Amino acid sequence: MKSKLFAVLVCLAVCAGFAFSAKTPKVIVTSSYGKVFVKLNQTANWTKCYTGMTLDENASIKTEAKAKAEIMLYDGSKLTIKPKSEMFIKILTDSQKALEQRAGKVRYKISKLAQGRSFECKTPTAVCSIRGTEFSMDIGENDQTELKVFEGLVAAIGTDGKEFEVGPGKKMEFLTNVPPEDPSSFDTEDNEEESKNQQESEKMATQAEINMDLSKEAVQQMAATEMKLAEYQQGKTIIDVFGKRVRIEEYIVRGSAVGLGANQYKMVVLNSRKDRFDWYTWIPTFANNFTSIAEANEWVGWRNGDVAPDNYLLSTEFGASNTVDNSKWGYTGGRVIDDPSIAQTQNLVFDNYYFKLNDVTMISYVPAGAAGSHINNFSTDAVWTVNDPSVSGTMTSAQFETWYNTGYLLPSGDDKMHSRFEFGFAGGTYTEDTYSIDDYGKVPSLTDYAGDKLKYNMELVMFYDGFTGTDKKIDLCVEPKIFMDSGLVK
Amino acid sequence: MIKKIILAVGVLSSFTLASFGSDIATVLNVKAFGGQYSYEGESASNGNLNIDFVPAMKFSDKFSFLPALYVEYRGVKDVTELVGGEKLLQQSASYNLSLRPVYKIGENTKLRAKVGYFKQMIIEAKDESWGNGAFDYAKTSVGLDVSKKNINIGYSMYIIAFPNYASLVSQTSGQFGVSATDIGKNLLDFMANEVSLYGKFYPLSGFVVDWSFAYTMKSFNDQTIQLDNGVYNASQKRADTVMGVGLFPSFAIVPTGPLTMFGGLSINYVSNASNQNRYDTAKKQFIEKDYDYTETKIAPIISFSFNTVPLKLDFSYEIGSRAYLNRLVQDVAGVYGTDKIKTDTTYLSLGLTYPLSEKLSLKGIYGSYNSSSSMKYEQVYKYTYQTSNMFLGVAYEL
Repeated sequence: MKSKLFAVLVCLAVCAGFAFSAKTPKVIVTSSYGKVFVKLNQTANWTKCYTGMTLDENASIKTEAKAKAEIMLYDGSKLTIKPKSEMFIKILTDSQKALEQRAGKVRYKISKLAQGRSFECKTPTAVCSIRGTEFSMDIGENDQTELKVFEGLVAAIGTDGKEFEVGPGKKMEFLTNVPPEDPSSFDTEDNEEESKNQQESEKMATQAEINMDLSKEAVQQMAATEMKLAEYQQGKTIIDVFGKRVRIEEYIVRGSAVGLGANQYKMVVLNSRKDRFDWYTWIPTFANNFTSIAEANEWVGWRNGDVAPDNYLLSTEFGASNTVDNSKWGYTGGRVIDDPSIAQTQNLVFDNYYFKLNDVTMISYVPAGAAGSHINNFSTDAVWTVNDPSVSGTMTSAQFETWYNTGYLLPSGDDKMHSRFEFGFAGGTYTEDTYSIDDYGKVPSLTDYAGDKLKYNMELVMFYDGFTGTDKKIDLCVEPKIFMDSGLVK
Repeated sequence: MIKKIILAVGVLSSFTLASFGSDIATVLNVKAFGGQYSYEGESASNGNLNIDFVPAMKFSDKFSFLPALYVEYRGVKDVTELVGGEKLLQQSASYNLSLRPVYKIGENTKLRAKVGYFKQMIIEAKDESWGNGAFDYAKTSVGLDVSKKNINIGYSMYIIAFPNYASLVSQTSGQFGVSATDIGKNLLDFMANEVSLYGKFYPLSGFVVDWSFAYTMKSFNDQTIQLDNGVYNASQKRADTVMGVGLFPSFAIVPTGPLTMFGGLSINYVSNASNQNRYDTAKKQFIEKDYDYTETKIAPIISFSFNTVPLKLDFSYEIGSRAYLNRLVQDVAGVYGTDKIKTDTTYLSLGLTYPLSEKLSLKGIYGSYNSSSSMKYEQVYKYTYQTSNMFLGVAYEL
């Protein structure tokens, strides 16, 4: 941050340096079209004029046929120099401004002058004093000058020295060696010309209105962008592994009103895509009641230790659905056993496990022995059953592990965080794909994932031939922390 | 979208015909650019198009009417946009239709009213198409402002609605123990009342200071407040207030030889205060007033014109800093710390304009944006990154 601030200070210092060593420009060419030339002082040569150029006292600007230029004086006055015109900037000080129009037609829009300041425009046959007005002067053949006033008042003096006051909608002609006549009203042609000019100035005013409107709009639209930003920051929307947008909402609910005991809570994760809606729930049930989620959370991940825990899980049960099909799995019959023969003497063991698809049990284990038996040694005490027609009878833990590992695949290669379990259940093939994905749906390499497991979201896709919902699958995107807390991911 | 634009043009044309007899000054600005957006070594190319069409009607010296249609297509992301969604593939299209009567009530005083409708469609994912983007939104606004000389005071009321972003829980039948009654349905929609003041003053010759102030009150009538145990208080709705202050002193100088420099310093400060809290369900962390933040942006802006070539160069370098007042930092694994999130940004912008004719100019723009944050948990959102884009195109002004 300091280095960035330093960069800004350097920029400012450069500007300030320029500012102190430079002077303020008095005239800026705001628009230049066609063959427009400038002479920076009276002895210089004519050179091409560009938009953005600056001029000072003693500079001249001229336009050729079909060319046009607009200049702005530092007090905000604007001059439109029409084709075949020439203007000389004689004096430009705070108290006095004097311009000489030497040929052609120029329209002046002069800013209001403060008391004691003067603005004078001179042609070969007339001199006009202005206090803040809009007018044009057109020098024709034999240096004849036509003055037209559109706004305000112009004091005009001809070659005979007589002064006339010319008001809006009036015009006057000044000829060489001929006394001017009194001002007369605009005729139809003048009005048409004025109407065209008015349109031009309306256009400029409209452009200013557009700029003002758009900058206000931009601020209001930022408010909408902020809403979107917050949704992304809170992980409420991500892109899945298939490039589809997933919206995610997560809730925690408690209490008897939702059918839960004082020793339970329920986490709900809702996923929505354009063409599907999936959800996931997790209900941990604790041995003892708790008052706050934070208190329960201290024990939710407890599996073993040297001392008996204050609280522990009796069961941890999950549900997932695409609103038509469901998958349910869970561990129940949680007990803490004290086994002095192992390093960490206190261990949480679940007596039962089940995995169901559309309410049909596909995998389960129970304690060996008669009803009321418990599992003390998982290797020897658990009896597994799988709903696989190729397997007959029950299995030991070792046999189950062999069966289970046969279904384990790495479809995207050994170095991608995409794994699959594929089983042939009685109702058809079941596949369970687990992807680690970044926020944009990309699957990381094993190396990247190992470096930072929690950096990635998880996508769990359960496909089953026996499902009838959209694509015969349940497709869940969940933060890995949720899966980790629930024991699904280690 | 195209039908709606045609309809909008039709509406504007009707007003134009209705104004038969008035003076019409039409402003038509068209900008067409091709460009490229780059992020972390990957890039995507596309184009941007902007059309501003305003047939301004002057009925009398006192009364004007400005119907306006702004249309925009953006295929190249702006560097300052958040890096979310399909970071490279974002496209957006919008139209903005407004009607603005302007009444001159004194020599230097104008009264403006406005009724406007803005619609933006955004495609960020492969399964989104025009009109069904999750973050498509519409803004309906009315406003009134008075300007006198160099000061403008305005009031706007606008409603922003995200039609495709209803809460997911509102799409369930309450079987999970939570419902839209508790949480709300149209969570992102809000109504805003905004008071703004802006103007300029001239302290020295050739020196201008633009200033602005805005105060906005937002009401989220369908978003309830989340409490420290993760549940929602259905009787209390979210309300935010946003205050923004801006200052932009600028000047024009001729430092040396054939060079003219227009310099300025843009300073902006925004503070957002909200009564909404957040309970991180996955990590069981409660953050009170999660949305409160202050943001400061400072940018020197410099333009160069030359007396020897018709070229204009623009340069700006903005540094910004957003500090959340309560939102806590997290480490890469998501574990909460005790410090508050602070994100610093820099935005370098270079522009080039070369006139091809009176109305047409060639433009080139390069932008580079850097964001770095004390927030290290980037599983769901990128806080530290660098993006750049560049454009080349033409601008036409009728």
